[in-house]
Amino acid sequence: MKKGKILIIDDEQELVTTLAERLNIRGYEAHGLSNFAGAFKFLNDVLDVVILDIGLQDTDGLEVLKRIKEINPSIQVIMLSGYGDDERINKSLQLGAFDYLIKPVEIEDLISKIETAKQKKEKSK
Amino acid sequence: MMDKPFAFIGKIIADFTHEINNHLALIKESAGLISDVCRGKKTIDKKEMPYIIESVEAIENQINKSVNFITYFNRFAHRMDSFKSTFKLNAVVEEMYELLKRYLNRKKVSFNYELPSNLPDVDSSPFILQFVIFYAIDSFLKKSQPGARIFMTADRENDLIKLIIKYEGEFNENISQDIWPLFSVQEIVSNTNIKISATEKTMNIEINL
Repeated sequence: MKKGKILIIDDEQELVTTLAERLNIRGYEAHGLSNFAGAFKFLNDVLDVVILDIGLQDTDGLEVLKRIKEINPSIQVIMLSGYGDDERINKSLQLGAFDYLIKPVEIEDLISKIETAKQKKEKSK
Repeated sequence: MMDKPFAFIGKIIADFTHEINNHLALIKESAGLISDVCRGKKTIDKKEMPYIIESVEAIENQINKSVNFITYFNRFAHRMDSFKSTFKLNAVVEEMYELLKRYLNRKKVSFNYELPSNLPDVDSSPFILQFVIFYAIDSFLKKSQPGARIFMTADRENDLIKLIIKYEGEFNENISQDIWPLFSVQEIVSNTNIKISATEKTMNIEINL
């Protein structure tokens, strides 16, 4: 049994593929997208965590965060961005992000956040 | 008065570090994937080789991209070494293009420039000129609509070099960001040989030779 279903949305396709592969190796079912357009089919599904970049090609990451929370509030969203300014961090948390991590991130730190986010999702059921 | 040049430098540094963080993230994840595949093994399975080769190639590509980007950033930083110097306009514009590319992409606005290769060297403040170019592009981007286009040309007229930055497209009527007033930028350039004027969709920058 898989440890959890994760969706990674980041405009850097190579990063999406590599990160998904590393999560798959660790027992998760990770899917990757380089834009938001293809995300809808996942959002009504049994998805635990979305790992989301702020700067996407087709739309603003904060807008995506807002829409994810509108569609399925139980999905936990971890922001993963190269930007580390207070404004983006605070805005993300205000919009309901579970946490905000700054790239590059240690895989073990990311997994620790994913596990805590999953627990929060379970409790909210 | 100096808050605007500082804001310009801050914007360039923030975008630069963001970009480098993205490059480092891919390098880190690619190296991590190699480590994941190889950990605890004496030999590598044939089917795992593509992961390793692709990851090594990704690391190499990303390092090359980073080196290229850092070169532009380093050149930009050295533009502030002295207030006045002799420089090539094409080089100054190229740096701004490379450093603002991601900002333009985020706004979904294309930017092209076409400068004659035979322009004479300019004796002015390269940093202030880059600030003025940034001001022109930033003013358009703050009210731009996706799909718009910014085009820059230059020409020599007697003892002047004229830079024209044109916006092609519609503006967003609901502007959420502050746009610096033109007079405040004119004040900053007032002790240089650079002049700036504007109409709704065109910025004109003149440099006295």
